[in-house]
Amino acid sequence: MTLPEILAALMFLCACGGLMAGYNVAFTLAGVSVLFAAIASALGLFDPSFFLSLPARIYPIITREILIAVPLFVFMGVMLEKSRIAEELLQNMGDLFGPMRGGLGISVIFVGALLAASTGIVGATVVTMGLLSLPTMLKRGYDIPLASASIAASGTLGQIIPPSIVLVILGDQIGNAFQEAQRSYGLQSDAVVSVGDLFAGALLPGLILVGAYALYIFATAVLSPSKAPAQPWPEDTDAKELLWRSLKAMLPPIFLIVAVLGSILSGYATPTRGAALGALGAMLLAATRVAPDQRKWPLWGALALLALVALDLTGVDLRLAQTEWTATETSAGAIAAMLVLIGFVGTLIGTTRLLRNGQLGDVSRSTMHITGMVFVILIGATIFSLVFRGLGGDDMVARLMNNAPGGTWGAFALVMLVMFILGFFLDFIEITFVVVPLVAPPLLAAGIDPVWLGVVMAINLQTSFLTPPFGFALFYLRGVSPPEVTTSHLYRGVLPFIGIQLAMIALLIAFPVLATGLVN
Amino acid sequence: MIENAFHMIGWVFLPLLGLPIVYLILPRPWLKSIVSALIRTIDSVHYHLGEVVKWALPLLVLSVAASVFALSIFGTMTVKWLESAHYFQAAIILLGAPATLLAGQHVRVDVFYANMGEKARARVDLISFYLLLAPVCILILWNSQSFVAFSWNTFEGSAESDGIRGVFLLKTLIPIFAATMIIQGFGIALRAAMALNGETRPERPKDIAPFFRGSSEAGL
Repeated sequence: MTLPEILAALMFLCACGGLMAGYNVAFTLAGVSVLFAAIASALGLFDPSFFLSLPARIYPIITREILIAVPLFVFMGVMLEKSRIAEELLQNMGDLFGPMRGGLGISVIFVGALLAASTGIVGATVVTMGLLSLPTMLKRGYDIPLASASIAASGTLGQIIPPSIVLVILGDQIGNAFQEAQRSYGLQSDAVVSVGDLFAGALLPGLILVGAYALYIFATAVLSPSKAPAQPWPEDTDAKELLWRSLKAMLPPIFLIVAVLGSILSGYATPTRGAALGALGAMLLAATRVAPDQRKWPLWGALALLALVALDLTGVDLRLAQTEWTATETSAGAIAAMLVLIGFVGTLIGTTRLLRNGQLGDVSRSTMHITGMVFVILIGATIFSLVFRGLGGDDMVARLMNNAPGGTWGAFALVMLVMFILGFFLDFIEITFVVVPLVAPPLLAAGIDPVWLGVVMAINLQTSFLTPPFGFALFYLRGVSPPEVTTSHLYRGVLPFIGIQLAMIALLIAFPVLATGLVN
Repeated sequence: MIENAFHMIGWVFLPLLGLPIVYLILPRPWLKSIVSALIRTIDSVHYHLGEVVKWALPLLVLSVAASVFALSIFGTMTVKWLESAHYFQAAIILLGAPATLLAGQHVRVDVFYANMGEKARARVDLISFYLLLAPVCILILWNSQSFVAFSWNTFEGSAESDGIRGVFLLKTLIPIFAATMIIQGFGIALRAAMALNGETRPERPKDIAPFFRGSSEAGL
């Protein structure tokens, strides 16, 4: 190891240690690297003019088309959460499936997976889910370890189920790494990896995990009914009315997320555009809920816009620039114009309602904070990487991986282990920004499939967030749980879920087609 | 000429950044009123900046959604409309960042932080301002001079011929980001100095979480 490389390694360790002090992550990463750059340039080992390229590196981050999907998805998630759509969904599913053994627990898993996906920050999701569902589960006599662990697990599950913002960021980074592998490591391929590819790759493993979690809860409920007791409907319940109420609460958000995902996976919309449609849809749903007794213009608007997309999918040519309008096209055009008008009026009325009751302002503020946080970390990580590379740290990492025992797979295992340990201290976004650009290019150049690598990394990190004693999700949940829930309850309850996670990673290694099969 | 003016402003204000340390050593009443006034001004300016900038989000949602319908169904769209998303996005991130810092929403690793008391937390923020935040932002500010000046020289516009001719404004947001982050960090460092002196700090803006509050303490 040369002296600059020792500095680079030291810098990495200092950054990890510095983060423990509790200052914000973005400026800790950037600040530690600037301090090391100063030391290194004093020793003549680092050229400060390296930093001249800094603004030129920040600029693309803030104007990148694909990254615009981040605020849009966050907006969608925060809107669904603040308008209590998520809460109601959970409550109704819990009521409906109450008479089934383990029914409430399974509902928690589904809602967590569905709605956590869009906000994408482990802490926020687990805290929300914990506040929403833990008291209910305990009240209904659920076993404490089982209840708390299923919330922690499903809160992190949202990370890997598309459309989640961590997959947007990971997909972007993997895509860059794949290009880097082709450019600098001589990988013979002209393929491109997109965020949509990673969405497609993560879909099946994500759904398998949801199924496995639900199965585990169901099995526990059958084997020891006292751990997940059934809760019969109250005597006077009208089954039809309950079913109708549940459907009304469940269908819109589920449909929204499925539609967004479908539009992206089918290639109808880019992730950014799909996210914008999702955000608009969430706004219209929220606006319908704001004034339940007024006219449902926002709902009609949403349906009209949906019909517009359906009309487009029939393949009828509505381009305004064309000169030859056939009779069908003219009538379809008239219908489309009507739908646009209804959609426009619905959006206008919906936006006004959300503005009036202050919800739009609140959601926008929260979304601005989360977006700012994510992107400032990205800027901080860029400075960190710049210095790390300037000191030759990337060569060191590549050499380390080349010399790993067991060749490519040894290097892969090493990377997974390091990411797992980093997951104890850092959130998904930081690890993705700092580690993936360093380790992914050599791995990809060795022939590992990029989508598969991304999916395994995501599940690996998610497992790390669940693992005692440091797992992120456990800390957050502990912070919001009632006093009767102790840390040891959590540790005990979460072990089977970790087992499921590890089994999933093993399954992916044995059958890579689970991740690559849906990617076209 | 303009560059020199900016440098002058920078050199004049740089020593001011030491004020939190000065106040920590000399907590005089007359200094306290200056410090409180500074905190109030900085917080209020950045809070209101954030309250304005946040409206870029619904605009972003509506404009991108509208472009999807216009483009994929009616095959009509202007480059200017599509490019507007970049301007909203950049404004949300770079102009909203000081408001995010003020709101304490830049994420921390709170393994140990969660168990720290008020003074320990204030110490972390005060030291980190000088050691981490200020150097980084000054570095960004210094190195963006030629980047931004070059862009202003030609009033750089979009690479597309019919795009928005405002790339130079977009690029200018980078030094503005750095400058406002230094100022907001300075404001928080002043609060930290007051906390370390055991004083009550000025009121926070509406909807903003308290600073340095330990798990069982109330604070401002």
